[in-house]
Amino acid sequence: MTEAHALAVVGRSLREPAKGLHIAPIRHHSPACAWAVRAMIREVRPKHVLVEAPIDFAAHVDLIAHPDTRPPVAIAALVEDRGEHRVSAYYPFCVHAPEYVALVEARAVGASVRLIDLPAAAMVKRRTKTADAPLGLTDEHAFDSGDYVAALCKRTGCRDGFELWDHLFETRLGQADWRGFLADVGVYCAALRASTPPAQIESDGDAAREAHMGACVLEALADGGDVVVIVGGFHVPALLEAVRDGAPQKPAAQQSGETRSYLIRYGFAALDALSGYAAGLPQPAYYDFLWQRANAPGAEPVWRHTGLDLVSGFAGAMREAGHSISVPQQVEMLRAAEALAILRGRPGPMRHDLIDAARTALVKGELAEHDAWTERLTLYLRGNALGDVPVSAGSPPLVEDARAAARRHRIELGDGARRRRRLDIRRNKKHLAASRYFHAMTLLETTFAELEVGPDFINNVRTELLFEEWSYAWSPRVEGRLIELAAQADRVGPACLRVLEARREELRAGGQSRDIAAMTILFSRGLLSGLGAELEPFLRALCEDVQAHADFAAVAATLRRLFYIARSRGPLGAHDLDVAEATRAAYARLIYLCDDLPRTPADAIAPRVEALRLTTELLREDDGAVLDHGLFAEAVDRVVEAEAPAEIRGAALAISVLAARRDAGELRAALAGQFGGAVTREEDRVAMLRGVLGAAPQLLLQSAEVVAAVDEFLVGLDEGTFIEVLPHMRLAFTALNPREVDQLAERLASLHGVSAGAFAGVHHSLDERDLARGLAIEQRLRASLAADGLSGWLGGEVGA
Amino acid sequence: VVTEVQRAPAERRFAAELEQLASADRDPKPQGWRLSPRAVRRFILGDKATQVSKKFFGDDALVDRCIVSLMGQQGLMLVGEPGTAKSLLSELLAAAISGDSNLVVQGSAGVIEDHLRYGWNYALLLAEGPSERALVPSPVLTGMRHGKVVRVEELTRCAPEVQDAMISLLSERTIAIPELGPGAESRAVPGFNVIATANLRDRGVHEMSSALKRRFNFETVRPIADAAFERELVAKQVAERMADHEIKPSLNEEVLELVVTVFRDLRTGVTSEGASVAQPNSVMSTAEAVNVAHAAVLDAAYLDLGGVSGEHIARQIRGVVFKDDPEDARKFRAYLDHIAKARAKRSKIWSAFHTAAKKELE
Repeated sequence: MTEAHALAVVGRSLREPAKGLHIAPIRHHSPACAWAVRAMIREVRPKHVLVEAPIDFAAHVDLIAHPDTRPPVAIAALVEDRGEHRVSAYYPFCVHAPEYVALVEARAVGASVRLIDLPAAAMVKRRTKTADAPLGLTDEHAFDSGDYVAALCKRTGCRDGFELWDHLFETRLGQADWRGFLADVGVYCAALRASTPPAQIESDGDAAREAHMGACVLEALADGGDVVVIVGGFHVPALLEAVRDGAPQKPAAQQSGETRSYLIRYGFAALDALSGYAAGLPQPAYYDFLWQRANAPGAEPVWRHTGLDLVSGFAGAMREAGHSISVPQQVEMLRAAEALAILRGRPGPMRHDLIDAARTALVKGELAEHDAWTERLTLYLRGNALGDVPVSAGSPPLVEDARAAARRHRIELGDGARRRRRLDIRRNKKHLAASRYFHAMTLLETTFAELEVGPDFINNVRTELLFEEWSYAWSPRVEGRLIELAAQADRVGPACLRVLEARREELRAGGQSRDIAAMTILFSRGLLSGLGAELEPFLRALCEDVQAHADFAAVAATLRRLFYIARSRGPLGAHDLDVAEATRAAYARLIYLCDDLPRTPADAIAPRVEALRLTTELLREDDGAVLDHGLFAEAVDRVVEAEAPAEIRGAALAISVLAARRDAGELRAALAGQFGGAVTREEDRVAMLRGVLGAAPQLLLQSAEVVAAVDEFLVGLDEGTFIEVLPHMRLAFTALNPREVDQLAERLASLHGVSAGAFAGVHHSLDERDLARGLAIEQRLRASLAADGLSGWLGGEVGA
Repeated sequence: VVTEVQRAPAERRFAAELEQLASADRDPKPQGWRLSPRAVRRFILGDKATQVSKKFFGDDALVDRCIVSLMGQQGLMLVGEPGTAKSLLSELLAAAISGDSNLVVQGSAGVIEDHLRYGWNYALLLAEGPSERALVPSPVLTGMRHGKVVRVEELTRCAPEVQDAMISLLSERTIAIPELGPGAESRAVPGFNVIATANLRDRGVHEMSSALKRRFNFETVRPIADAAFERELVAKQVAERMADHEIKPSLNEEVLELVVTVFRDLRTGVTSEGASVAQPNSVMSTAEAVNVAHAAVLDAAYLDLGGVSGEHIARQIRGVVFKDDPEDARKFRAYLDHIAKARAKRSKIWSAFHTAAKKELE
């Protein structure tokens, strides 16, 4: 028996009416296959319709065929993985999918429906590559690659397996001869299989699935009556073999309990084979259009105006989007599409003819790697349609709650297109509510919405902005994520709380139980999401953590954040929560930790000085006197009295002087003591000044005493020490802004009877290293001259 | 009488195939076309059933689009890097559609509007005054009068005002000849169209006006993507060029592989192993690869009286490709030092290539 003969046999054995067997080999999401399947079921009127889909999805069959179901929809399977249910696989149905048509027609003719593939969990677990992305249960790579496809492409002038499929099969959409069509698909797929290495079939795990499907077919046949089997064409030869050999193996025991599945809304964007998500045919809007055209009343031939309508629709959409297509270009695109179709022997423009036509007519100049027009047309042919499921689909309450909330906030969910929304969060209560919803969905990691412009309350960036701008799109991923969370909560708010709690647990488990900064951020996000009073337990836990925290700087930062939250009347506002109380608790902890300041280790000095400054500023802002200012002043006094590191002491003294609790003279004396004291490293002389400037930079401008102390110090320095101290002085003075530096310079200069401008006029393209080197060289030169008794050469100024 | 020519036009070279295609052509033809669009496609892309050879390699869909463009009111503009067989494609299209690929205007800085419209035989003009006899039609005017495809090579090398003369030719499809009397004009008959080729990136080319761009459908001809394909093509073209020589040294697979690999590496800037390569400014097209292989074959056959080796390729590649750009020589040296040297350790032919090429560079 030759190979060609063997293939032809497949075509003939698909239907054995005597046995009651009618196999429909299909390609998933193919409208032409759907057309033939429908004709077949209507004519055969079978007792059973068997569909290649996981057997444990049987509960959804009635729902899929429900009149209120509007594809694209998908069954999302949550398979247990490491104790968690994650969305692991999607089985999508679009309106032009043969499987969908089979389910609807089976219902119409009163046939029973059986799903015959292995359970979803078995398929997910067999998957060889360990990818995190969910598995598409309708993937069909066999159609796109392989020697057979390549050879046929070469012969027909098609560029890939998709064009080849369109050329051979989709062109036959709407034809009455379903027998001939299905036989041809059967032969084509048998040839695909014959040219696929057996090892690959084995590694894909097809054998077990085919054995299972074969057993199911035999079981149905044994039941009597006609049986229609809708199965991916690739499996047909194996299925025929199984049926011929008889010996029904009992289908593998159903694994249950580890898979949960839901019927969800699906979208064209996810259905697009090229999105690499759950594959089928690419650009589903195009095939949807063909299907609608084939089903249009009046039985107009499918192809009569296909090109015209698609090109006009595309041009219209582009004009709306601001990409103008002139009428002559539009005419040329249509002409090219029709002419290409005729040249290639097709009844009307197929997908590739349209794409070619767009290139011919619209691209002026050299074709870029990613040509804009090609991409726009591809997106247009992909479409944004989103399906809907009936209320009875039992989609988890969380999903329904999220959708209901979106509708309440007038957020468009009709399709999968990405939209923008501008929210006036400070003046419009409804907008604030919508903003909270977007924040909540973001907190849930649904990928539903993204804040593009707006105040960032978490990082305190641009908080003065009045508007938020969001972009959002409902997609199967959003729904999938909500389904994952569905087990934990049935409304958006509580789901957010669960997520916050889970995060807190993660922090704790990660040994970061004291990461109160991260916890405060979580708390802020909860507030932005509108959780309000529900955050009470979270806030209490945060307070407890603050009470046990040992780091001054971290507590100061948390105090500051809580303080602003307590005062906020904007989106961060929390009227139902006693944040002020929490603020006071944090303040109390801070006061307590002040007594640790004298024992600050070297590496913690800088952040603590900074924390002292921030706390001082905070208290100055606290005009409502939420906090007892006296406590901090007393605590700072205690630090001054104690034996603290010079910087801390300087900072404490400065704060004390600034609060007029101490005389500036005391600070001057302390500074002078440090400047002139016995130090091991010259830089330590500047340490106290560093503390003063770090905690209260304004003091240097306000207090003549401090300026005098600095001036005395500088004047008294000899050259060598000056050079050594200089970089440290510069570093200390970075606490001042340029304007303050100018002011200070003016004051210092006036002490010496000159003007600062006299120095400022000179600019050198030298940096400070050059200066230091120059000074060092000069010094050595002077020393050398002096050693040689040549000081007189220097003009007497030194030698004198 | 010498009958041999160096290179006959496509309609003469492939006369038998055109004849065969025409006689078997049952598909509808656009007005003024010698062949149906499908037969044109078969002529260019080959047809196993009728044993018509494949003449243009690469993108089949591109050829479809070109044919379809020429059936309409728009001119066809072929753009792309040098050496991507744009001119060959335009010649083949003209030969198949009009049976005549000789109506060519070669664009250059010296082209004036008369070359696109008409000129005069001045002796006759002085003797007889303006008359049809004294008129010297341009290839464009001839194409319009006889309904043929006209080729304009390197359109962007013409001055912008000369390019703009094409605008009215393409939109009005008529050339007025006022010297022959009021209202005298030649209107294009069906079958007339223009195939222009242009290089958009080369030095010394002029920008095209957008009015002119609107009159053309653009097609970008790319270098051949498939390495095996390119090898096949080089082998075939070298064999064609050697057909008239008495000695026939063969270009074996290894040498072919070497030539094509070197050209592809330098053209694409990345080797098949994924190493990156500095791309020279010189044109590393398939056509240049054929030139190098051809020269190497001649060198081996006539001077060394033996087979082609890596050494011959190395000797030719310098002269043919890296003409006199010191920067390119540097890049080629880097390629030899890093890519070719590593391959030389594993392969004899690469070793010969490497050694000889290094010597050439000195």
